[in-house]
Amino acid sequence: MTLLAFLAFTSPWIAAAILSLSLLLLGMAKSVHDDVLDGALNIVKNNCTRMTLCNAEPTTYTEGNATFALADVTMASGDFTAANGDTNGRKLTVAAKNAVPVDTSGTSTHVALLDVTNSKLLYVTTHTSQALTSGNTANIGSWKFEIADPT
Amino acid sequence: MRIEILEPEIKHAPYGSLLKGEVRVVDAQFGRFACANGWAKHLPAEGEQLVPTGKRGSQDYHDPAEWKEGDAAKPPLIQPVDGKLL
Repeated sequence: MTLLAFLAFTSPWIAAAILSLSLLLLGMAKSVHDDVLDGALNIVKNNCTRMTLCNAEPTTYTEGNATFALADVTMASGDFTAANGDTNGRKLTVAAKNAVPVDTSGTSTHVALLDVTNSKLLYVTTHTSQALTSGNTANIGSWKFEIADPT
Repeated sequence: MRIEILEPEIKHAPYGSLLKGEVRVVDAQFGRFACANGWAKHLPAEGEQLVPTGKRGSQDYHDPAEWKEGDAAKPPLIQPVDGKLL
């Protein structure tokens, strides 16, 4: 600011040019409408019909739905809630599911969200390893994922 | 899935007598698959490790009103890790 004051006194045109450029740059911050971020989140909210517990990281629908799946539970759009992100942006919270029947014994390490209608693996995350036994049940806690605002 | 208590014994803790035992979660269909030791006031989950504090009347002290041998064990809680897309 001292430099700008000096230039304003000695060369007003140069000072005005520097000030204008600075204001222009400050006005170029990045932003995104919530609808843009919700568009991605709603792909999961409106299409996910199954959540599975897997004994390895699935990279395809078949792996998430069958190859690595130990347990599964039906999901509906009401199980997902979009809201402002914890930091910024938007987040999608997945409802807890209790008494999920275990179909295959094994050690679960991953959770997958699936679009069964279109055979898509929508989202995969991890969890602390847990031994599961066929015929028993498991509870899955609520969790979320967030899309941050552009920086 | 039922809780079975094995090898109960009396041990002396700094703040009084402590009843210890091994809690084993038993699957009626597939046999024994997980165990833990100690008493807990809350209903133990499958594979949960139970560690008593040794204080009589503490939260970790077993309360038969909460759970007892033969009760169904609590299903394990799986907590997925939150994600962040930048």
